[in-house]
Amino acid sequence: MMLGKKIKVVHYINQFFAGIGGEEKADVGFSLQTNPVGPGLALQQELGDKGEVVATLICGDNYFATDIEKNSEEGFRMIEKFEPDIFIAGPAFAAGRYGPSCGAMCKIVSEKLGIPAISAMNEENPGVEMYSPYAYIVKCGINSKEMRSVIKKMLKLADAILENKPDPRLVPPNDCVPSPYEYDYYTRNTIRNVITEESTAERSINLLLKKIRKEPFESDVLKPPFPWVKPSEAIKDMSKATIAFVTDGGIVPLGNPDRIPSRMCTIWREYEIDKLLPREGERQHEVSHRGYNNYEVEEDYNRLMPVDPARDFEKQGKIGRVYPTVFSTCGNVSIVKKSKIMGDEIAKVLTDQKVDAVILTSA
Amino acid sequence: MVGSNRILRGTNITYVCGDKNLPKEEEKKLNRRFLEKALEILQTPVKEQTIFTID
Repeated sequence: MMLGKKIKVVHYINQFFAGIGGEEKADVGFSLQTNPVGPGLALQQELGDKGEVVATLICGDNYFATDIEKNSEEGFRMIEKFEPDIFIAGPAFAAGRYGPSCGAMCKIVSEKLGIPAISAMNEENPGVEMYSPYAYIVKCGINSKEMRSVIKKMLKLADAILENKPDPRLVPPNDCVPSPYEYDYYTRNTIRNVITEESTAERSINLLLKKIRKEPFESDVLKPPFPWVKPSEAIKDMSKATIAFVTDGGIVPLGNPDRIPSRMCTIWREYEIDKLLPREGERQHEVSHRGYNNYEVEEDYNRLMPVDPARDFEKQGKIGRVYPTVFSTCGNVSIVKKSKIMGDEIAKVLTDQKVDAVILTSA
Repeated sequence: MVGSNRILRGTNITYVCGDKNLPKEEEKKLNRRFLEKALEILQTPVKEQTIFTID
């Protein structure tokens, strides 16, 4: 830690950890105390003489969530005068609104003040995916009984960041970033250049051998966190429901007029089912997807999407309505980030059009 | 698998909801069975990612 001077810490917590109240008080706005509050007491104890919690910023989870950007600004304005050396938010564990508000506060503080901003969340917390690139989010469980050990972990990481010690294996300018493995935090997806003794070929084989032997190893690329998606409610009455077909099997009209790429695709299109997949007459579709042999699906579109049985069920009243267009893209070597964007765009059309459920097929 | 909570296992990569090795009529029945199962799954509450098969 920085010698001599005491480290100034500003701490952010929600209404529950501040002792204001539970869910029923989640709408309370910002308040500030110039001393540690709630888990801030444990934080101060762990800091000992090396640091001081000079301010605790408190906000209700619902209040914050109503406008994350605006409220981050409001919160920031209240604490910037304290000139903290580090900012601690939470720990939020698995709390789904607290996590994002901790992440948002860390983001604005680190951007505006350039200081380490650290939180702690369980991998299921939506705040992890939203804010891991901007904050240092230490991994933790779901139980707040772990509070003290998690706070210790956060401070250990804070020390390492403040120390700014270059790692001799790393290449400047990103050579002082503490290792996500060593300090157990979610990767911020920054690229660090590393000088190694072995050639890439030797390194790759050695890593692979370690993996096969079930020995511990450090991957160069860490899997980005996948958020948990809340399962949607079950359909109550299928005979009244509108069902839409979506596919990443790359089904397109003959000639692929929209030029949907057969790999690394970032676009999707809607096609009228009756025109693209007519039950009678000549085939009107082909496939643009080079991740699988397209022959069988080109012979019979039902092999990719059971559209004909759906048409029958609609006639028989078993399905309320088959949505008249199919949403198609090619899911070959797709980038997760871009796929998410496409998913959001398609979902917007589906919800605007009051589609009740989707059959999404993938080759 | 990223965000899918209701997953129905298909036959094969190149004929997900069918089977090229079956005679046409049998394949049609299989295809209809896939749709039926899909609709059944949509009417089933789930708490987390769940993989189903057509039996």
